[in-house]
Amino acid sequence: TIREKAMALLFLPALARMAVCGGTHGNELSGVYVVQEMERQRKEKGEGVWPIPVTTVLSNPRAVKECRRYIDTDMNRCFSRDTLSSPITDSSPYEVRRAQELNNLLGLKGSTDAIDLICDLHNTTSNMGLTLILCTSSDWVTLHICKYLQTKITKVPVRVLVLDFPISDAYSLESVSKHGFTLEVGPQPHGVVRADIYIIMKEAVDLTIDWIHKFNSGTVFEGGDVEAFKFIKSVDYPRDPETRTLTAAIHPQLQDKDFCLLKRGDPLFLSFSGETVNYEEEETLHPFFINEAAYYEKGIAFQLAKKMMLTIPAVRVQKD
Amino acid sequence: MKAVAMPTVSRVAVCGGTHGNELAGVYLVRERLKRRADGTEPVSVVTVMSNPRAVQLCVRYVETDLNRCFTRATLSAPVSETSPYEMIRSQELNALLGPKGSAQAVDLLCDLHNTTANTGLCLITYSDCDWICLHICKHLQREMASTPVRYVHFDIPLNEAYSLDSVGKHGFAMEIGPQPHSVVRSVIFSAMQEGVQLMMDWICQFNSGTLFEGGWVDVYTMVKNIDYPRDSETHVITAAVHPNLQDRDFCLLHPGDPMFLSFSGETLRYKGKEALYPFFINEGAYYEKGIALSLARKRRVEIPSVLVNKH
Repeated sequence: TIREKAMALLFLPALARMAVCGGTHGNELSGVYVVQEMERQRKEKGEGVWPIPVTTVLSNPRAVKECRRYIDTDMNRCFSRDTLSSPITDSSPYEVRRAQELNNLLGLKGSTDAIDLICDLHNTTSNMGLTLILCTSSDWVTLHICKYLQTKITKVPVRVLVLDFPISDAYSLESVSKHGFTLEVGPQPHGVVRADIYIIMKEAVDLTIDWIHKFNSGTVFEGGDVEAFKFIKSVDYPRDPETRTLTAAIHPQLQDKDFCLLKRGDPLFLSFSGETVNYEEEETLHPFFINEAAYYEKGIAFQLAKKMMLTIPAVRVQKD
Repeated sequence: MKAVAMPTVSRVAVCGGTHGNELAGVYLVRERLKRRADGTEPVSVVTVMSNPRAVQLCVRYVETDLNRCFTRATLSAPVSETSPYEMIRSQELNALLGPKGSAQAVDLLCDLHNTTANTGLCLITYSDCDWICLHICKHLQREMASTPVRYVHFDIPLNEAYSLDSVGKHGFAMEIGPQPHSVVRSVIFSAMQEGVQLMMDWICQFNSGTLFEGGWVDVYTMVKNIDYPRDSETHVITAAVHPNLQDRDFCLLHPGDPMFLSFSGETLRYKGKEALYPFFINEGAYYEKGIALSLARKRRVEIPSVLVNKH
């Protein structure tokens, strides 16, 4: 009924400013060049180039210069409250120093001064299309942005991945702002920029800016159901017990099958000597981050998620 | 062409991890080292992890690209403790598998590589008339059903040849793509394993007296490299390989065909006068070398029948 619809409409504050961050991992190149192009546009056309205020940031400039994931430590693990408040000394890792700088620029994390939205740009060697990664499943702003991107982008699958961390434990860059998400596009090798991947990422950023502008201007965004994948656990490679080196690679039948169904008995790994290792668990789940290069050192061959439906209310900007 | 008699290929080297993050070769070498020789192999094979420090760190190189350290000049330069690690290592490898240009060098050196480019399997070498390498190529082309196999030739004299494979009397890089660096893809590993096995099979058959019939091989000879468009001040790249060219290694590129798509959306086209064959399109390690793609001419090379000369 009309009354039910009116009760379900949620009023939320306008988003005054957003940040687009690239190069949080210095060898994930689409984001580096999206930020470069946005800065070129701003220089050419002035501050009015976008319909809302946008801050562009090259998160880890030293890693970008050397085309490495990081210099001392993974920057996207440096935004926990503890790390952000730890005293800086001469021996502090570069990324810890830089994380505190970014917290001053875009935060302070948890305060009312924090920027409204961070969109953090990443690439993966996994065949994940466009995946929007959220720390929480209860932020209606980011979920509405996801729904909007899913409607507007048709060239590649657009999926929502929810990590469901307690907010107090969040350690990634997008936890600094009031709302935040990671825009992950793959497959792209690290140290390489593919035109098709760059275009997808640029389109997703432009549509995010578009959504915020429409939202701030008073558009009602209808509620509904959003299909999402909730992180369950990680699975490591089979390794030699002494040397810890890999003894198998992702099986050809699993390679590139991110977000497909993994059922009991399906092949997981093919050892270098030719043996197959199968998935032995009862629960059918969805694998993702299959064969991500940066995760070998973290002991992750792939991760598993459960598919679920999130119901989101209609939203509209709250006018003072 | 008359049949050519050639000496036995008695000593072979299989090298992996020359670039520490090209993982199919790393795991193939590890696997081969696990299966210790039991003395019944018909050919003597030495298996070598070329750059162990780079492999350990999973980087292409620690101080300098090892696969550029095999020119005569670098191999004979004086080394000290302060020399780059890879320079010291190249001289060690030259002592082990060479010396380059001498009678003691291994008969065949097969150096395993991966590329982010969609090249399929390529045998890359400095000669377009090395009948052993050309026959091995023909054999792989015949026997490998699902992988394209091509012969790529860099026309550089031996003294200036800079890569590890130039240390053997015969040698080639066995390059397989596409595979991201620091990743091992099962099908790429299997293709490399199959390629090496077929090479060993050919050598055994050749050494046992099999006559290999002559014929023709398409040879791609490198002509030039093309760099990315760059900002004149900062030198940062301003475009990516065009979607129409991306992944189209060895498809003929005509004058006027799209080559790059700038980050601001403009198409830049191939301005050369001659249609050429692009390869190593968008190889991750070549951004720092100023190479977006390489261009080659293709020609048919006639190869003679070959037979082992047991003297």
